[in-house]
Amino acid sequence: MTKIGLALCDCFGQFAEVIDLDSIEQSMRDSGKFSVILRKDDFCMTSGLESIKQMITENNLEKIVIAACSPKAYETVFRKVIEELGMNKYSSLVMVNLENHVVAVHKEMPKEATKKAKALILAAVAKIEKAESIEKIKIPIQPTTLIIGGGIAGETAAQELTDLGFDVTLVERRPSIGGRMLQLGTVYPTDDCSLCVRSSGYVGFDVGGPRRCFYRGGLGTLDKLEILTNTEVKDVKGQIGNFKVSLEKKPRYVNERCINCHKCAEVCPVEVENSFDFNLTKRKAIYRPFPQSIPPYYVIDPNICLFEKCAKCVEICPTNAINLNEKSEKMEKALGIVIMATGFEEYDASRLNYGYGMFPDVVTQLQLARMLDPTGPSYGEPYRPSNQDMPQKIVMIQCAGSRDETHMPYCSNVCCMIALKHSIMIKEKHPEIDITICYMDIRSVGKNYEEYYRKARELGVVFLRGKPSYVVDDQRTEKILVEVENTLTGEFNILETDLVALSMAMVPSKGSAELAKMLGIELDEYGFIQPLDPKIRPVETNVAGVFATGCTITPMDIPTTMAYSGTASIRAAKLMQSREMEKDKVTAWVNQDICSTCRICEQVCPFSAIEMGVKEDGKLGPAEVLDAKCYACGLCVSACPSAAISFKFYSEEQLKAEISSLLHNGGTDKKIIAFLCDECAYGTADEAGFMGLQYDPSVYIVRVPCISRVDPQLVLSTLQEGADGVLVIGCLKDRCHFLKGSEVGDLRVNLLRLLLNQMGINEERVKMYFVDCAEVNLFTRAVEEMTQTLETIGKLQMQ
Amino acid sequence: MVTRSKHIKINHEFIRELTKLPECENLKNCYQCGACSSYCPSFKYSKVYNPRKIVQDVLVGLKDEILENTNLWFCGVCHACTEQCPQGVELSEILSHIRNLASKIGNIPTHLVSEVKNLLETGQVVPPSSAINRRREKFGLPELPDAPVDEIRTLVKSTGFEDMIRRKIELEKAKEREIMEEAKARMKKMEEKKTEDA
Amino acid sequence: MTEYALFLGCMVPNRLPHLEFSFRKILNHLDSNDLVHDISGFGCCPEPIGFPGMDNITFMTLAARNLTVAEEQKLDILTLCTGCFESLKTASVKLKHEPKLLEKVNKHLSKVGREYNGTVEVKHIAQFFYDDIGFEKLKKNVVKHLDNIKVAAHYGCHLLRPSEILAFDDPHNPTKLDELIEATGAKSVMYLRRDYCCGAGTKSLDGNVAAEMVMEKLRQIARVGADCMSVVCPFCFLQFDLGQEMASRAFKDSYDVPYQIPVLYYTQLLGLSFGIDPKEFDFKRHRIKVKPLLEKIDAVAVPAV
Repeated sequence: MTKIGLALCDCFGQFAEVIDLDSIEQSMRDSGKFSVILRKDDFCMTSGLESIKQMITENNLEKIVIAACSPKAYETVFRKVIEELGMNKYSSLVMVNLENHVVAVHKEMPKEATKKAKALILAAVAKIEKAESIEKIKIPIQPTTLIIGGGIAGETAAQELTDLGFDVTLVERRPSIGGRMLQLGTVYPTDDCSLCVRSSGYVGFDVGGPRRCFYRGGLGTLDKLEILTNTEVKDVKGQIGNFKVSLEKKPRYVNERCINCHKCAEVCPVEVENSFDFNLTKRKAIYRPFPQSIPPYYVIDPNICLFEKCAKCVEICPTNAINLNEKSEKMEKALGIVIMATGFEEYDASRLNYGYGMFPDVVTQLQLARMLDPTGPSYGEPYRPSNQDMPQKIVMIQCAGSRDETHMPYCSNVCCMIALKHSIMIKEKHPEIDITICYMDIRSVGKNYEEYYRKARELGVVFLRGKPSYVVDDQRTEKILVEVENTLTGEFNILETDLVALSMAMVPSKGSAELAKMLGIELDEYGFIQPLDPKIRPVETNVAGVFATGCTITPMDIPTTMAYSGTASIRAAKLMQSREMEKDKVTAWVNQDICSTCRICEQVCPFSAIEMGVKEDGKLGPAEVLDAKCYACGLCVSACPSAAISFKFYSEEQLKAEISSLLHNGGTDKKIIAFLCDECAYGTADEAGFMGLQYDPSVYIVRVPCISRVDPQLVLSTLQEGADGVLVIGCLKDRCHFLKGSEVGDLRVNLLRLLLNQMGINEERVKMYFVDCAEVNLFTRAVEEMTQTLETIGKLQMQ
Repeated sequence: MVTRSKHIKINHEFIRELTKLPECENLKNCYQCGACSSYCPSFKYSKVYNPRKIVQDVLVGLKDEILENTNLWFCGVCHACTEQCPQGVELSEILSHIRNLASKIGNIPTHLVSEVKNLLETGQVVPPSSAINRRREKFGLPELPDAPVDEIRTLVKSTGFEDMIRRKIELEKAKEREIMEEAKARMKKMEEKKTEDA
Repeated sequence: MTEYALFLGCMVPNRLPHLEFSFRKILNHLDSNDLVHDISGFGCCPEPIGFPGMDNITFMTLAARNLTVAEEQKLDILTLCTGCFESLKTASVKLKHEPKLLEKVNKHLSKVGREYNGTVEVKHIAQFFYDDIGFEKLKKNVVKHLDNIKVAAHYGCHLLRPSEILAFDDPHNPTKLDELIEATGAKSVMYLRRDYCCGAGTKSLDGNVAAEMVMEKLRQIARVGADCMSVVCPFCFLQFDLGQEMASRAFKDSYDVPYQIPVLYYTQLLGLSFGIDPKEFDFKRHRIKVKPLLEKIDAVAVPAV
């Protein structure tokens, strides 16, 4: 027989105020389940922990039940102690929450409370008897990182990680790194050029300091950084620690012998819109993206180049740097971590009623940024694209496509500041230019940001509160007319202007959705990456080992991006530093003999942690759980139609034994089993105890990892076993700690209700609730509603 | 006119009342951006009808001011405001409902009263004319069937609409009488003055 | 094929019979008379601008009464006027989806021995030509390709909005009427403020507002060099035809007035491309002269092979 000990807490007489501990101790002795029973007050203190250790060693205990307070508060402490004694923390310890499930909540009913405490301890014994020991697994992690996207977000993460000593492959699909930040020319909140990046003392400037001017060139000299431009990610397989990445490096046609003499571009006969200048200017088929591009060579645009038909550039090149026969190169790499930094683009401005694409003098803020770049097409001067004249009047339209249910409902975060920055830059140089900003709300939130708003007002920028609905032109005067109500005066304005700048909504870059699909990561409804938890895990995705930073998560400015990239780097470094990830094998496990390869588990897993195997003949094999990605929610366990997937922790046998024991030993006439998820729901029941809320003692709490673990079969067997009612309580649907658990749980319970109806069982016997940890009243309300229902419909008589 | 007290209190009752109706529920989403008014052709040219302002007045509960505002009827119901709204507020539905409430207290423009008179007399808003009927004959167009005037009258009586319009007509007549009497009194005074002067 | 009861409304038969004539003529020409039936019993639609504002239930009841008239004959409804279209379509959609409203309306309808069961669909003739007749049939009948003519399409508010209910076309960027116009060989030109209102709805309250609105449209249409406009609503027709003349007079000091942009009801335009003698359409009734347009068509258009 397994030697089990019981540590029964008195909590300095507090428990005795409600329950009869002597009677409990006696009953437990009589049960014959325990080799030893220890009653003390201070298990949670150092002295108490010592006494537990002593009890275990002196009696050679294999398992221990601690009846005290909430496991949420103390389980980790006790687990640490028993691990020190060489015992398995999962199979050797079960806690009984006497404080919050009995003492604090049944104050007026000492008899019932005492009975319930006994039942809970016996259920814990039933549970611990079935507990299997759970080992640790180690997942090797290659200390290398793939960063997708060479904008400021990716560059910063690359810098941080190489500084920390890790190898990084930075992939950029454009011919140069630099991203949107470089196109902005000057950036807030410092108004300086966007070329500088943080100094990290790697190129001879070993003094550090705020920043150093060496363009992005410094990045090219980092030994541990491999920059792959003109390169696309074609496929990603595998899991954290060992992602198999297929890359395609597109031909550049110009090699490192290029000395940037520009002769090739002079002879090139083909011209096209220059995308770096957002089509304000033209460039040749052979071009350098911008003067400081990295790598510092020319590149040929294969979409328009005439190749052999022309080849004038090859003839003139003084260094023989051009090879028109270059082919694209496929690469396979194995990398430990992936960081998504794919950035943003502007929402399609022609979809708004603002005449973009119709009137050349309607531009976007990014186009205006190119004009205002001192090294841009007009050397920093604003101009009217229609006739190159200096505008006398400029109107900026905020929230163009943002905060709009028919376009992009979110706030794009940076547009207010960009408009303020641009208007200040123009006004400082040309006070005579009239600038009107049509806005709904100015959001200048950040260090020194409000100062921009004030400065713009000081410089005479006019702020008109209203959202224009129409932009037309006046044929005779060649002016643009912006029609808008000044909502503060109630007057209809027709603003006559020379140039309109649209502060466009920011949307995820094209192609980021395909990448997300390859990686199995979740996107929000607008295509941005959905962080694992927007509050405390803002750079992690639902797939272990895949991180994100920058505007691929949500529109953000440069200072925020720096912070995000830093966080992502630290999280990545944390995983890589020990070259392996240690994890308890609490994860799901597939019995390969039973798996019918129906692929349901693969589809339902919120963390893309299940992959289908491949048999030798190439056919679909049984499912496999990727331990590194699995977070042990149990959704697949309850979803598997062949019961091929199981858990060692919260196993079917354990749960059934616990429930059966509760129903057998529970002292109340009617019995309600409450399945509470270990996250918000269990927390709420704890809160009820802390607040001293009272509820009916006929409810017995069963802890599950997530309510998606509760399948209809388990509820049915619970009813068959003698429960009169079942409560299923999980987190709020959109805040489920396992992303999809509550949603799936809800579907399951609805299905169950149909089943119950068919079986002639009143569906009211199963009630489901979704709760946030802070909703203390919800648990007691749920119990109250269930007891009331049971009062009307009576006990369950099973045929 | 309602005389405003010095400090206007925000009255949440009116909006609660209105938003109970499914078609008005979304008016709470309005963030007063002015996309509707910036488009509204009637506002642009009439300058007196402002859809945004109406929602604003509803939001702060200026019930009486809204319902007595005759500018409500300047809207040409082109529904562009509804299509423009970035927050999905169905402005033309809301306006229609507000107009219903205004009509109940007699705020109906005279052209609509005569429209209703036409309807009750001929069954149509634009009644037939003999000249046009002759032209129809020349075109070989079929003779027009009689409009179902009796049914229409029964229905408007059943919905209480006829009463509402009759009240409005009486209200107008009373106002007319008042004006006439005032004018008569003035005339009388002038005559008296004349005789006095003489 | 779906069969329809023709809902004439008030403006077309009682003021603009030549528009009604053009529709019937086309129908006859396409040999589709059996798709459209004249039935008696319809009353006012009622008009969608002022009426729903006075009393929505009365509006719904009177509209539903018309729907019952078609329902009795197991016919759908076809309208010549976008106003009738909006009123009847709104009623049919709402009564279909709001059982409480239907119940209320039916309580009133019972007073005249009627009941609406929610089965009638409402279509405007633009939809009828687009969906029921179809381009193939239209194009087959075109004998005079209006290749040298630029037409400015005016959809009209009540054909497009509220789009959620009327569901005719994209409310911001509609194309269906343009496609119908181009079936004649003519070029449908894009212009600014295509979705702008003609102003007819504000006419009764403030003629100035209505005049400003019509001028705004005409300015944009004149600018792109349109030879004529095509409309599908009698109110828009009057506003652009008679209204054009009046507004041009009122604004004679500003803009490039008077504008002289002929306005054609869609079936009139279609008729010209079908080779029907323009005299039949009685164009002299139009306030803006159609003659220059006809001359332009005659000058170049060659009979189709």
